[in-house]
Amino acid sequence: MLTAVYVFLWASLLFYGLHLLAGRRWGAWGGAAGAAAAWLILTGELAVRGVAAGRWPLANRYEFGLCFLWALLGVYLLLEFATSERRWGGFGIAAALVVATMTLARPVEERAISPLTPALRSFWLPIHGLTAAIGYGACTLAGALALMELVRPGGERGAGWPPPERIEQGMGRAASLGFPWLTLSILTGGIWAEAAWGRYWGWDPKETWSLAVWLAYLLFFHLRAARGWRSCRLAGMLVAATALLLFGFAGFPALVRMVRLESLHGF
Amino acid sequence: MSALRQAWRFLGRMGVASSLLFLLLLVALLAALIPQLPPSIARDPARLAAWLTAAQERWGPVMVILHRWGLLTVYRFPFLAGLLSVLALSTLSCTLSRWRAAWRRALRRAAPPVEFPLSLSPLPADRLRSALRERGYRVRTASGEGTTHLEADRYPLSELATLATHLAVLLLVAACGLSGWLGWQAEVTVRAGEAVPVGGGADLWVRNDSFAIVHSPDGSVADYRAEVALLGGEQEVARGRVRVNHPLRFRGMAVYLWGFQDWEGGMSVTLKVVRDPGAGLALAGGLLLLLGVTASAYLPHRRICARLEPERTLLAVRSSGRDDAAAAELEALVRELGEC
Ligand code: HEM
Repeated sequence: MLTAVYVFLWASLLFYGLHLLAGRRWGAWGGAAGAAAAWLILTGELAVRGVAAGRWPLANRYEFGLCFLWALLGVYLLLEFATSERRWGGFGIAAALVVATMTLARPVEERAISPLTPALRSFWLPIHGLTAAIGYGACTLAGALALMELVRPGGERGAGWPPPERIEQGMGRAASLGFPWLTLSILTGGIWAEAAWGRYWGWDPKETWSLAVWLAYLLFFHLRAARGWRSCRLAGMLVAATALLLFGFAGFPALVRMVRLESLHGF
Repeated sequence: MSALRQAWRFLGRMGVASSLLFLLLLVALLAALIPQLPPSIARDPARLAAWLTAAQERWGPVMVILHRWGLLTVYRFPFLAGLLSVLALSTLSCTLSRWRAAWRRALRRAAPPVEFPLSLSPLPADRLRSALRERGYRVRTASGEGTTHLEADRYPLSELATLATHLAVLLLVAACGLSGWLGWQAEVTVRAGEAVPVGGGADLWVRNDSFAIVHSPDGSVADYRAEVALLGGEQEVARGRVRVNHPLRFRGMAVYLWGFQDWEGGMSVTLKVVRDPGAGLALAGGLLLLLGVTASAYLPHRRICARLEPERTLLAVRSSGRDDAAAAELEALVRELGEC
């Protein structure tokens, strides 16, 4: 299933690329159609998994990756719809492809539908996981648009690109929409940790990393409100925050295992 | 006095806040990348020594240096407590200097704009008013000398959102302090049928009545269940089943299932007993924080002001905080008015 999503995403990237770089109008429609098709397939896949397992599809990092990707695409499509801006599609879809690749790279065993371990059987699992996926999706999209702001060519060559202020608005909007979800996921994580381990905060590596990611986005809002920092530096800050976020999703758990840090978190 | 006041103002500056947040971010990254000592081990010299020896075998002598620098217990780092206190003061200073203005805007008492960036051909006040009402705005008008002033607001209370998030930060820092100073926890291992004191100055005993592992049809573990009772003096004061994710709570204390061991003749369970007076405050702070960030992201206050003059209509929009869609809304409104 994920292979079909992958193919649609590549097609979408190609179309959006033609739209941005070669000014083809139909490219935008092709891109949006590819992204919407990928999103619909993912929705179906998640629903089928959930029904087959009799629980929310958030039992391991593969399933969380699917939700993350689903949220990223969903937020992207909403943003495109709300702003009628299609030229940044390529960057949004490229971010989706990065997440899809990270998810595909998960061990094959995780694709099997398995029952939940007792530790994961909690009212809070779906809320905590789903809110994290939505927050990750919107905040990663913000990072993708920030990257666009950074690589946007100046002068004549940037003529077909959205103006810098527009990209800045888009990235700010995506970060703004994602931030409450990140907050909610840390909050529900704290409530769950209190119920499971007897403390709402314990400096566990995964917990602490998520705090760092949250602080990085918070720093972005403060720097932006200060009005001292504009476009490029702000965008660089967001790209760095997104790199922390993506590392927390894909690289950090591997690092934790490699240096054998002790973490209570399965993923 | 004026030096103190200057220092106070300085603390509330955005640049200072950003630097503090950046420092906290660095501390969080360090704490995530360096294995942190669980507090129960850090407090117990014998277990600490054993842990350090094991850690040294695993990661080498660098662990001793990290321990000496306090980097294995970042949560106890005097630096962290200091940082959080300064952070709280900075937030307080910022909040105190801004709340009056935010309050005025929330009550829709802010002065009207001086400049109107948008100028259109004349519009009837009624049409503008109904278009704004359809978009969920509350509209007030005042007329005089051939001009009509119109002020339309939506979600004005969101002006208080940033105040709420900063107040929440104060609550959270206070909660961390309470949990750190007055919180207490202990691990006790209890054999089946026996009772042990929980310690921590509480006159309470915990008894292990039974322990069971429940399997699902496919053989995987479905649940771990311990039936425990709490005894105060001679009397049983609470009794219940303790499962993973489901502690037994009693008067501000909670008992968690932490582990189990085979023991001749039965199973013993390890229970964690916790008293955390900061947890309630942390929850309140967390909810207030969530409320604030949600309101500022999803329900920003927007105010659209118009001056309807005989030969033109002037329009302006202002919004709370970072609201990237305000200008777009004004454009959509103008388009709508032009179309009908
Ligand atoms: C150092 C500790 C601080 C923390 C943890 C903190 C936290 C926050 C949070 C959670 C938000 C909400 C972001 C949102 O609305 O989604 C925020 C926004 C804001 N903070 Fe702070 N803050 C701190 C210090 C300060 C200080 C000292 C100032 C005063 C200069 C300040 C000014 C602002 C402003 C103006 C906003 C609104 C920004 C916007 O809406 O884009 N903050 N802060």
